Amino acid sequence: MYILSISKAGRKTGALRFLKLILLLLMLYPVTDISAVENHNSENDPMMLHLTDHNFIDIMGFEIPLPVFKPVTINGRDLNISITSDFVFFWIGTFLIIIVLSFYKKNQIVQKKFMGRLVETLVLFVRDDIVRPVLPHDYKKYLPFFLTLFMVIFMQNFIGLIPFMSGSTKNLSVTAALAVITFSVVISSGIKKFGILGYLKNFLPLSFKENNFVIALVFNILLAPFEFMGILTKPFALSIRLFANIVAGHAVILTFLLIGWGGKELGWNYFVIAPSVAASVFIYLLECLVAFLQAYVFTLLSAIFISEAIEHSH
Amino acid sequence: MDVGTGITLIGAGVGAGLVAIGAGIGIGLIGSAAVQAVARQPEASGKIQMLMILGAALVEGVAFFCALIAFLIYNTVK
Repeated sequence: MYILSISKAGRKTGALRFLKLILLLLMLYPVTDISAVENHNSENDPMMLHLTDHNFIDIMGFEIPLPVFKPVTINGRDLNISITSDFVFFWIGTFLIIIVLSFYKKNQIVQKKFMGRLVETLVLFVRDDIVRPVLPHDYKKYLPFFLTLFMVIFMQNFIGLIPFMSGSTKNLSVTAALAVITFSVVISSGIKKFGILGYLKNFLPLSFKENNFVIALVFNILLAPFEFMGILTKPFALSIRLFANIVAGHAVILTFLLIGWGGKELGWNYFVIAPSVAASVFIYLLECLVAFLQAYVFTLLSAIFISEAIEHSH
Repeated sequence: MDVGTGITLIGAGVGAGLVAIGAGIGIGLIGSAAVQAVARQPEASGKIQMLMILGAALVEGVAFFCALIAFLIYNTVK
């Protein structure tokens, strides 16, 4: 009873602290974004300024420059390898995850503090609600991969909602890279389970043994390309879904923020600012839900694709 | 702005609107089916919720494809 009461009290203060943090960020977000748009010099379209990648970090119109390298030429194509804001925030988020999770990896006892409870909740959520229902037999083998995937996407989505920071999941290259990683894990786990020939045999919808040979041949020739195309469209859809959700959410927040903004010449219509900030706070809260939901959906769909590749046996 | 640009913009807008109709109907059907399923079998609510979010995400993905196309049209015209 005593322990229960302590844990309840701890949970209360932890949740309160979290709420306070969120409220603080919410108050910061509209103010900072509006002033960034107002003070900015190099771009005209505030929407594009927020949604694209740059080689500077923008803090209220004050630009911190990032190093620019010479493009590398491979086969006559120039590859730009200079450091951008998305790159910086991707690594900041990833190092945060590495530090926090490696700290809690050492402490096996359940932590009573806020951070430990958050980490425990997320890890148990990934294990019990995503991976174990979908891959009941060998979830232990794949759990590290899904935890990494979930944590990275979750972190990037929430970094995108913090003022001055640019979460890298609004960049199509990042989501495409995540989807390609999932794709390679799907294919390699399928090949590991069945061998190359056995895995290719899974693309045939009808087996030759159970059916009439001619019917099976015709159906397989007609339908195997579609099955093969399904494998290729899955990572594409995965990357576009995450990217478009995040970009659309940010675009809606900015649209509500910029209702009163009439361009550089006209300036602000100050009567509209209060309702537009209120509406954008509402959308911001919705985006907090979407940030979590998209990490969940990405991980869940990856798990389902892997289970299809593994358990698809005739 | 000439007439062709205006018509293109109308096309992008109307396309996005039609997609919103379709996606709304789809997600509404998923939601109603999930509510009915939970009402009939409350103990399976966890599994049903997972399937519901999965289906909603697939519908939403299609909707976002089309929203992206509308956005691209807008950008090329502008």
